[in-house]
Amino acid sequence: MSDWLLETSLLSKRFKGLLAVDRVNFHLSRGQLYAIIGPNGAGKTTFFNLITGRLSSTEGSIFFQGKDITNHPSHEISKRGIARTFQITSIFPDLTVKENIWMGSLSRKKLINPFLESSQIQDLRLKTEEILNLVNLQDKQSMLAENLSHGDQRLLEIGIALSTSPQLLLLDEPTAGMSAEESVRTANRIRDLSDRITILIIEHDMDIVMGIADHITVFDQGRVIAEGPPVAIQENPEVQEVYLGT
Amino acid sequence: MPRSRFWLFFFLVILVLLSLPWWAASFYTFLVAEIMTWSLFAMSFDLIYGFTGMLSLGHATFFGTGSYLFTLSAIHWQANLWVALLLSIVGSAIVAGIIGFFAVRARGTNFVVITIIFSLVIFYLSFYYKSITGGDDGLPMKPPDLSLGVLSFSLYDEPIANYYLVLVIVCLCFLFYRRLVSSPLGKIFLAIRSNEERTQHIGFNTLRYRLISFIISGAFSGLAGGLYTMTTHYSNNKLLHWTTSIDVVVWTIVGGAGTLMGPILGTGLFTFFREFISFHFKQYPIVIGIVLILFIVFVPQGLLGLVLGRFRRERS
Amino acid sequence: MNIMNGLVWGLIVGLIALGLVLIFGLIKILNISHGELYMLGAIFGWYLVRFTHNFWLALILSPLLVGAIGLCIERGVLRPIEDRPIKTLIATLGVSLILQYTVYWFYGGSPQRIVEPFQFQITLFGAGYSGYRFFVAAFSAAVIALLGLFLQKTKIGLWIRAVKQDPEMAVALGLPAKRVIMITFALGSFLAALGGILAAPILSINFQMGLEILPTAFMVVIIGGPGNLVGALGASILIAELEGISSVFTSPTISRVLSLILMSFVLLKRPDGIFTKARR
Repeated sequence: MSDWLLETSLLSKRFKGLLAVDRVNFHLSRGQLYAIIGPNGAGKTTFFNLITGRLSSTEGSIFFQGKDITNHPSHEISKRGIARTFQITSIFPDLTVKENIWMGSLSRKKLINPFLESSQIQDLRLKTEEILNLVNLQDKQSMLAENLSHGDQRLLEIGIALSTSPQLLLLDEPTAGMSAEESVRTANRIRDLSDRITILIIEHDMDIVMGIADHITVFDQGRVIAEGPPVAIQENPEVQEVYLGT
Repeated sequence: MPRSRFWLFFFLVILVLLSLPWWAASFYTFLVAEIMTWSLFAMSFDLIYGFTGMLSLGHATFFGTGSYLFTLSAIHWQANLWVALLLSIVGSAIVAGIIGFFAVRARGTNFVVITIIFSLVIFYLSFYYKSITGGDDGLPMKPPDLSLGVLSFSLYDEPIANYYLVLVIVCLCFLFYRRLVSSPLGKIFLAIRSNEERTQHIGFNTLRYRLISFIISGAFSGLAGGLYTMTTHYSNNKLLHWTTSIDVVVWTIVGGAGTLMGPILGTGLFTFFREFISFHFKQYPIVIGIVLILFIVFVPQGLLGLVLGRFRRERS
Repeated sequence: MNIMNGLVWGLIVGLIALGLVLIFGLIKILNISHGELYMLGAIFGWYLVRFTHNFWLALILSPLLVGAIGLCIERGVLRPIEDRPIKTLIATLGVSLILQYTVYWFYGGSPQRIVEPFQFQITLFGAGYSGYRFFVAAFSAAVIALLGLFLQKTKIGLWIRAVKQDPEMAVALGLPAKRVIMITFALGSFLAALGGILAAPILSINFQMGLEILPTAFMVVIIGGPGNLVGALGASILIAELEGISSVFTSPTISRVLSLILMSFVLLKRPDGIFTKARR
């Protein structure tokens, strides 16, 4: 059990009659890129919400690095090392790009001195610059986040997540709303990132998933119906039916 | 606002304020002192509204509590000036802690309603315990003397001494607030206002930070109440009334929420307006209502927000 | 006697609160000026009675007038900011101030009364009881029942319920959501004003009477459940009886405080109200 970086056991979430997540057993280990796919409404985002503490589970448990994190509040789960992006981009619209990322770096600081001048804190400044370069937004660092293009906002969100130095990065449809070209660039970036950090993405774009994922899990109606390397998933008849049937 | 420009502006204003008693009638000395105490109240409200994104319609509770603590400690315990003021701060902070503990668990409209409820409860209680609070007749008082080493000033007899004391204290508070909002703690407040969920998901316990913001705001509102009473020599429960809570909201929004100086501007404008217009036009709240609506619909960033917006666009 | 008073009062408050609930449930607007709409009902009623000497005419006309005003408020002031609840809350604050002091300007500060339209006593359980209050209770109950029928059986009622349940779906289905909102606001104002003119012979009419009733109306909405009409009705009777009964034992101030504390608990523990089944 403590081998897996993340593990869920019989995890379920019921909404007044709808079983959105149905006894899901899931696990992943360090250093790989995992993907979750499945038709709309299959429970993928709800699954993410359960892991990150945005929703409370009806049954089952979640373990991260061997410790039980079931139903812990979101800020605690973030502190433990799980960062996430949302389906609908969630950034700080009235802060600048630089400030957005700076907030993430700040969150890892042990002691917050209420009297220091923010821009003077050296280690945070350096870390912020590093992340800005990583997501290629250093040229736009003084822009207000709400003025960024959609694609850049999604990159910014990934930047914020990265600035919290996570062990596990959860990306919910990172290429949603992007042009084909942007999607490919983003996918490549994600793949590069997976060299240094474990990533779990929810994705709809099949080409991308097949291209970058090491391991795929298929959800349908709240349940895991298949999992394995991309090749195996592609040839799985059940999966084909679920997708063709949609 | 660029650093250098701010300090220039600041020193000019301070110069004007420092010299005021020499060139203005004593009525104005009194009025400006009063305005400064209200401004401190407005700045404190702005901390939770403009910076942390929480609308409270019950903030008069802290102002009134500070005022009463100042008065009661002076009357019943012959407290010295600093103790009385300290009590205003600490007492209000405690009340803010208690109310805040419950209130911050609610969001948006629910939060507003809870602040209203607590404010009403305390207001009603102040009527019930009329013997202590004097109800709406209030309690007249004489503030303790200001003793600085060998020098001693009677704040009651020398309004100019009172004026300078208020000026110094409010200035220090303003500088403190300025420091606070540019510190990491201040940035967390801004983040909460900007997107609370995102703030939680990067690891901040937003409940805790909202409470901290609420307590600081309440404490300084209490100080403002104490200074107000020090200047005007009375406490009454109108200071706890929701009309006072609404006043500070109007001043802050029109002046410019989230700018620290905006609330000061709004406070000054409205207090002058009320002082000079209310004799001739008893129905002046109509104008306040119209102005409020116009601003919240068309200029929600307030007067100062409008002006600073020009600077902001240059930045990006 | 007290119980009957509680019932009468509870029904009047219910009328007003229902208007508030309708508005809040539909568009999440906490209408701070709702008390002023109630006040206007009483004020217009007073003017109409003075000019026409006919209470019944005033009873019908006054709420219609106020309904029209409500329509204007929604259309003019609230429409542009309806998507932001805090902004609309502040705007209704402005409206409240304007309404209060405009009335103060024309009507003056001294309270007036409307004479009860009929003066007979009914003997109930051995005690004499005002026939008018009896009428008010019955009339309010009838109006509330009519409202229920309206919402359940008519097309517009259906539209209102649809937009309340799921605004996006309603628009997708082609319902004129904006118009529904406008109608709902007018309806809510109508109800508040009706409560106002009904209450006028019982209380004194003054430009700040809205402020006296607003906390109670809000309490009802919160305890009954935001958007829950039946809950609001139940809560208003509950609160009125509670306050009526407890004021026998302690001072009215304390009973008010108690109600307020009850309200805070509901807000924190059961934000859907105590008459709604708990979710989650």
